[in-house]
Amino acid sequence: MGRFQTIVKEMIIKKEADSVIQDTHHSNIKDASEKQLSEASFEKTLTELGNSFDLVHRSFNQDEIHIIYLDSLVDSKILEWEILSPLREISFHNVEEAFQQSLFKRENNQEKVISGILDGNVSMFAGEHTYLINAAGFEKRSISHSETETVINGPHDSFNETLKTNVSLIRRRVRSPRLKMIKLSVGEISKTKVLLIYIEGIAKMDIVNQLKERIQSVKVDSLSDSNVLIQMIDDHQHSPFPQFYTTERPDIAVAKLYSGKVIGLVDESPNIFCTPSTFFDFFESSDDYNQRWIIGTGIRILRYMALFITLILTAFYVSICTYHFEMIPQSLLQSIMQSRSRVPFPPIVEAIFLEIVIELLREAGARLPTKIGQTIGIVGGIVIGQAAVEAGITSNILIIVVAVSAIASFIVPSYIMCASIRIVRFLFILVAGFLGNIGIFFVFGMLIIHLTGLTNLSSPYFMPISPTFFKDWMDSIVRGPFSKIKNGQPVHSLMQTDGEKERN
Amino acid sequence: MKERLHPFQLSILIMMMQNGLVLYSLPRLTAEYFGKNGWLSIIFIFVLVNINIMMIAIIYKLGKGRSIFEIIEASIPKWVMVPIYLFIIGIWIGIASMITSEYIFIYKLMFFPALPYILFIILFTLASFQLLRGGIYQFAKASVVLFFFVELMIFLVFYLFPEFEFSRFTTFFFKGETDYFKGALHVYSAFLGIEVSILFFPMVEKKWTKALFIGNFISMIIYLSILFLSFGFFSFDQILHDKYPVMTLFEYTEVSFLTRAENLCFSVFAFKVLSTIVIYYWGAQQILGNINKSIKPNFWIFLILGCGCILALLPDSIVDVEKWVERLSTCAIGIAWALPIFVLCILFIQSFKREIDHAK
Amino acid sequence: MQNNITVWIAICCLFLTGCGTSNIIEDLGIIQSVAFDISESKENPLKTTVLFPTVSKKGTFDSHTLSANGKSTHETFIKLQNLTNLKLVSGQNTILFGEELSKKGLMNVVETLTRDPELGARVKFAIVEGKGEDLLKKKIPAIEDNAEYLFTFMEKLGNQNKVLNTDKYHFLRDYYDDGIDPVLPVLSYKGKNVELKGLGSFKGDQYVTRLTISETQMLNFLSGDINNGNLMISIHDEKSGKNENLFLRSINSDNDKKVDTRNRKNMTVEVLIDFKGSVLEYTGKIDLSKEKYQKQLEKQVENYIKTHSKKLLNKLQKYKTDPIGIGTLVRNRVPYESWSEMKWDNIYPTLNFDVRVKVNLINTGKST
Repeated sequence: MGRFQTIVKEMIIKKEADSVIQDTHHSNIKDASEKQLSEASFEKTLTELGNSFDLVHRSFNQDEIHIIYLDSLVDSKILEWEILSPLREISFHNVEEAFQQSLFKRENNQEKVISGILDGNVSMFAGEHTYLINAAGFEKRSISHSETETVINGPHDSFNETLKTNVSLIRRRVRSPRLKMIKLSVGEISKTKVLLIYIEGIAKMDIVNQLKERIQSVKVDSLSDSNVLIQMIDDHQHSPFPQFYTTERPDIAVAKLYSGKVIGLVDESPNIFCTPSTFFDFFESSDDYNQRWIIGTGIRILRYMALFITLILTAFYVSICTYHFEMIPQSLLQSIMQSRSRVPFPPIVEAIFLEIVIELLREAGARLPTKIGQTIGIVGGIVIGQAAVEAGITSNILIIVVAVSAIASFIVPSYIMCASIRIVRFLFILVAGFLGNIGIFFVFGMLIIHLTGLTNLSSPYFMPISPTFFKDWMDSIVRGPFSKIKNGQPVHSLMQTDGEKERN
Repeated sequence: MKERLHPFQLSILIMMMQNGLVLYSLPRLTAEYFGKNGWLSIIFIFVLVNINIMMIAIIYKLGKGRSIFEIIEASIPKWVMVPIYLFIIGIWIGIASMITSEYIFIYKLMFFPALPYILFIILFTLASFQLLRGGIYQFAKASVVLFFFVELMIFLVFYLFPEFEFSRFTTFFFKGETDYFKGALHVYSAFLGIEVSILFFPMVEKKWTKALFIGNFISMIIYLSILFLSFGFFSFDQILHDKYPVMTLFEYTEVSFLTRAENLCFSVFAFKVLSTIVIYYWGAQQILGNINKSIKPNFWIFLILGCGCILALLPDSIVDVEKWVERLSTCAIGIAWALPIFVLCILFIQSFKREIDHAK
Repeated sequence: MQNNITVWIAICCLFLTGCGTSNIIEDLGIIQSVAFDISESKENPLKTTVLFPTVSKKGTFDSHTLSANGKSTHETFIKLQNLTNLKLVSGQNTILFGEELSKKGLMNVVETLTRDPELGARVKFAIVEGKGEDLLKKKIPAIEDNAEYLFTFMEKLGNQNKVLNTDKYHFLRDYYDDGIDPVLPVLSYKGKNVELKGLGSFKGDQYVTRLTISETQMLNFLSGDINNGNLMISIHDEKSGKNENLFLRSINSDNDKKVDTRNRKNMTVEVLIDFKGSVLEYTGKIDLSKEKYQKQLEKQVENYIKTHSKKLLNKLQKYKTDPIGIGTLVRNRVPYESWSEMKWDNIYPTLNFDVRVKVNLINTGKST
């Protein structure tokens, strides 16, 4: 919260001091074209940073040396050890020798001094020279379990918000000089750091360059999370399906690096994104690789079956009960008729009602504090369901159908894809209620047409199936034995098709 | 680097392109026109279709991969060809809308007698619009996925084996009242759709012609196996009395938790019919695009879909539709043979001219 | 932009669906069983009885029967629609034909059933001894729902005996085929339970004769290969003068038929049956563990099968009905022109049958 306050305060202060800064900026910009640098001095710095809660200004040696820093960004131990103690002892002229042990550099440009202070450096004004000494020490969350992506058997650490920790988690797993990083900055005010990481030699440079261009073309004031960034650089903004794969786990991130993908880290966000990704990436989990290949394959196939079940099962129930009664086998007919007899609504109303209740439960469960969450979940699930049947609002077969499809929808490892599938499911139910089976198949066909047309950075979304590369099936559709999975980059095409040219 | 169609994608695309709706009444047609054991006729027709495809492959080779418009317009001025182009476009749009119409009529007959006809037309038009918009590449990608779903229903035929008996085939060949020519036309229309591949030349990889043969062959195998099964499953007169024997075949299969699976099968079949319709529309769009290069392709799409919609609304009854389908299929068969022969002739003339020039 | 157009058109077209009719399942009376009979009135000769389940608001299940007279199947259906608050539709059903109606000819009724797309190919057909209506209306205390009982009953029969597996597809197939005649099981409701009385054999679409249960078993063996069949035999023992019973189970039999068509006037059909079974019940006194006695028993079974199948075939020839399919065999042997000229109906009674059986007892049960 403190950090948040600081950032907000900085933004507000910037706005208040805007009038002052506007002129200074404008004159700075004008001057920059005439004069290369503007001289840094502690008065200007103080004016610019203004009356901030965490701004500290100290002077030593009878006002000859001034230091200015932001208390919330600086680690007090480093400050004490490296800066304050030497400062108490030295004389004016030996400044540079006294600070040999710390990271310091001479800086003269006023803007760079300000951004240095905002980055956690201590600025020291000693006469004509200005120095920036790195003493950064942000408060950060320690490495913990991932809340949203859990794995039964495997490493449990996950990325956290600090860029440095995240990079260290990756570096530890890739000890090679071929690991390259490109630093970018997004956001006019927030100046959020974005890092693109790839392994040289395996990754294709076109992707790296294209990604870099896309990110640099984003013009926003601030960037809060990597999920926001990837929505801004998407090829297809109106599709309900996510095109960039995101994850919180370092083992998955590093696996992607090794298969030739480029990953991007955003400061202050624990999610990283990777590209080029395909539809089938969202159905992989590190559990598949940690287990034996037959079991891994079985579980992957189970996931695809779950995808079908969650999309179609409720819609199928609605369409059979409304239009196609002849498809019910003789033995089930009695139970379905009995369960539907007490319900006054047509099947589609019933189904939409139950689905909405489940969505409410799910969303409420996500927002509740953990202590209450579990109880409400059980209450909601069991009691409400049972009570609804008793009251005659829904039929018990429908409850089973809806519950099974809800459970099946949670099998998808990636939360964002899970949410997309849930929304698409509503579409299926609606169409089934109005058009029966032909409606379900029509929406299914449109869905497939839409999915096969999606691209991620010009690489087809339905990759190993649609431009068909049988060798890649071993790794994406099923999990083949490790001897069969080809290491290195799966073949993909970065070609712009005629159709896209026509549209663009 | 421009994206090109890969032979595997192409063979699946070609298989989906061919007019599958005839399959539903194919046993009856072969029994009516060819007599007992009429299913053998499909092998003969397959040979004919192969000759047709071979012409297309020869054109590709001789023309060294140039699009046929280039070949034709090198020798004959455009304004002469325009009426022929318009004729071809008319036939293709006509046959596409008639196939839509036929499918919708059968669907309404079997499952949804009361649903308004225009609703189905709108659904099909929407789906074709989405596919046409993406161009041939997206269409090829989507058709690979749709192919898997359509072909799943083939596995249902395993349920028919207990009732299959060879003795029902009888030892007579092609006996009974037969009309070979008309029958041949009907059976050939099951393979229609492949002639549009003549327009693929600028968009394919080098060694693509084998995809034509493979796709056609797979189609033939599927037709043959279903015909074979239905002749052994039903008795001869029963086939003559049943309008859509393949539909009855699927009605008979029963999975433990689902009866009357023919509903699902026919709905999934909509994808195959959609592919046929879209390829005809695409062919018409290409020719229109060639006639007038300055107009944006999207305009042609709207025009073609509008015409298709209106044409599909015209027939009132299934007899009407069948009549029109028959006539248009005959014309389309004519085009399928005439166009390659025409282009081949032009190629020969061009090569003669070049030799004469060389000689000079 | 174009995506938006698609979405808008899709939404608009959903509004059109109000014009269609839906078949919401609780508003329907899904007909489970239909019975066709000849009615007493002259102008409406067809009487249709339907049975469909209804569910009350409390959830209790009940079945409802209705009857109506009419000139044709659908006329009666229309009259029936006016008798109930539910919309009647045909679901998976069993269809029963009264005995009189079957003797007159079934094709009028069956043709409607073929033309209607609501009926599947697996609807089960059966003949009822007497009136079908009475069978549907009969209340048997142990059975809640007559229709479901009938359906599962006929499914069980079909699983046990290939010949008894009759539904719309089988009936039509054999009816249209000129080499074989259709058969339907005959059910009776006289007595406490619904009983299978035998098999009704048809000539064309008319019911001509009924085969008893033992004859049905014989027919089963003559028709084709059997897996897991059974056979009850009564043997006359010379020594004691009594009749002994022998019951064979788990019978696997292979069946081969050959037709000799060289002499057109006098054709012979040779039926070779290879019979393997295990003894489950034997009330006689012979010690079955000795091989000599086993062979003797086998011979007795052979004789039994031979004589009884001969009797059966004579009966079938007398009524000119051919459920075994001898006609198909003959047809596959003669050229097309001879087949079209041959009057199979007249030639069939003149056929000579030669039945040869080879019996093998696999085991004699747990005791000797």
